[in-house]
Amino acid sequence: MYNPTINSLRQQSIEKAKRLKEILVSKYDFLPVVKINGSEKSKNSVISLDDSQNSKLEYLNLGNYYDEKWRKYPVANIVVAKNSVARIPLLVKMGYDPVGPQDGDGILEFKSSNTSAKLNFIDNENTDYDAEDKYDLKDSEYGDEFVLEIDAKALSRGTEFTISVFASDDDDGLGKTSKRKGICGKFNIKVVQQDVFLEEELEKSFDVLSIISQEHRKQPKEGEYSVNYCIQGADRFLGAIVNNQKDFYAYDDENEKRLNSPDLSNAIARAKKIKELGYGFDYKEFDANIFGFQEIHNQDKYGNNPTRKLFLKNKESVDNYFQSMIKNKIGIHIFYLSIVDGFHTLFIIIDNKNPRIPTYKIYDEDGETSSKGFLKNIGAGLIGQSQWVYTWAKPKFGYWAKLNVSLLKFQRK
Amino acid sequence: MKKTIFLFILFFSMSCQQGNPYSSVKTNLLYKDKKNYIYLKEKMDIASEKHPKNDKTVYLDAVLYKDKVLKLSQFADTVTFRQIGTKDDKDVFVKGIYEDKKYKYIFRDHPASYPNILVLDR
Repeated sequence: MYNPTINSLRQQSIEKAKRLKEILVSKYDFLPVVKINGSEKSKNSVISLDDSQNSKLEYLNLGNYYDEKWRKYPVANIVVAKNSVARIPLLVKMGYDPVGPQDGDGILEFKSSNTSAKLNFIDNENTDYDAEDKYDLKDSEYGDEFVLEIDAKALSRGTEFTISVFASDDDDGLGKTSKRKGICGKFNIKVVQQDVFLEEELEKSFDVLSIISQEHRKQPKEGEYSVNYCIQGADRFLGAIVNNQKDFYAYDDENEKRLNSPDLSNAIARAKKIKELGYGFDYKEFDANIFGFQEIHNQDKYGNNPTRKLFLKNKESVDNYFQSMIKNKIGIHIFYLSIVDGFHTLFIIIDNKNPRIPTYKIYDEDGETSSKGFLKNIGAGLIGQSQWVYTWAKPKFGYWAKLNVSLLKFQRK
Repeated sequence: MKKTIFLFILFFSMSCQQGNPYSSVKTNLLYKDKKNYIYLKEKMDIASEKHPKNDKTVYLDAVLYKDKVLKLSQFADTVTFRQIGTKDDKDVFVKGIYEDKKYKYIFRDHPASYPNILVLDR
């Protein structure tokens, strides 16, 4: 007679026995988990384990051989440089922790879905690129830390590929070798796109900005930094990113010599010119209608009475624009910014290394402005900068300037 | 006493030279540096969120002429150079208008721009 309860219990016993058998058979198996080593810094790359609407994460099932906590394996999304070697720190964890003995070493094999991507493996301790510092994948052990190097020079920007890691047993000299070979890690790689940047690429630009802001704040009586310097500062920052002193404003601080002086007579025209030169991914203008203002009958610090307090009327269109520009693009994004009808030139850096919570900072010739925070609040940042420029300009020129905003998303050529 | 006065004058004149690297070519208008580049002396309002400054004296050596950024020295005739105005009714940003025998020079403080002097053929 059929009894569902007894049948279910019988089925469970069979599964249990099967699992027990597998465990017994697998004591020579090498069952590592190869994952990102979060305690080491990556180089020329961005690693994201965020699972959000803006960046979906893939999961692998490593199978029942593995302890339950390791079975669901998150596949890191990694953006790598095109012209520099990316370094990804990795860690070999024990994926199965039995009561009795377990094989602790074995062979790792990395397979790239794109053979043009060159892979190299070096010891975490010695990363000075000597041949002797290579990490031996045929002698891998639980607890090992090493670095995966990816050279993507032969690939086009935006190319996506995967690197899968397989583990198998080596000859332990015990006369028994497991034949098991299974996946123990995977990484989804993308060569950084034309309009996305890595932190290392901005180091030189921030050095330049640091000099500019220090010198400009001194308010010298003469020389390069004695004038309004916002439009020159923004141009120098962008030029330094792409190492171009031919098309962008350039100045040699050491020899106090202007190296290149393009026409910067208008920031909106300049944005269009930068795009024409091939450095613009997208040009966008928001007209004054995105802002509203409230008239206040008190004197502001610039002497306006009444003054005007700005607010954002159309937050959604501002948010949607920035979201659309960074969606599925892990890394850093740069926007050349002009506000209040060209009265001030600035630039925005959006940090989308962590796509779940992208952040922004607005900079000008004095360095970081007061406008920064979560990207979802960038509208407030645009108001913050527009507000002071708007009220500053009114008594100087006798009219409330137009509140338009122009943006150029910067890209490499 | 005479020696003290002499030393004081010497010290004073040296201090002035150290403070300003420009020497006057045309009083209160044109100056030159050690390399003989010519500068126009003007006043500028420095726009800044944290460090604004009004009426800052500036010395400008770059000009825009037919879409090209060039040196004021390539144009200015120091003998005939003179100021002919401080504003333009059609352009609120104009703060100085100059001319010499061949060119007209328009100084605009804002919006954000470089160079701040536009040179036009007369």
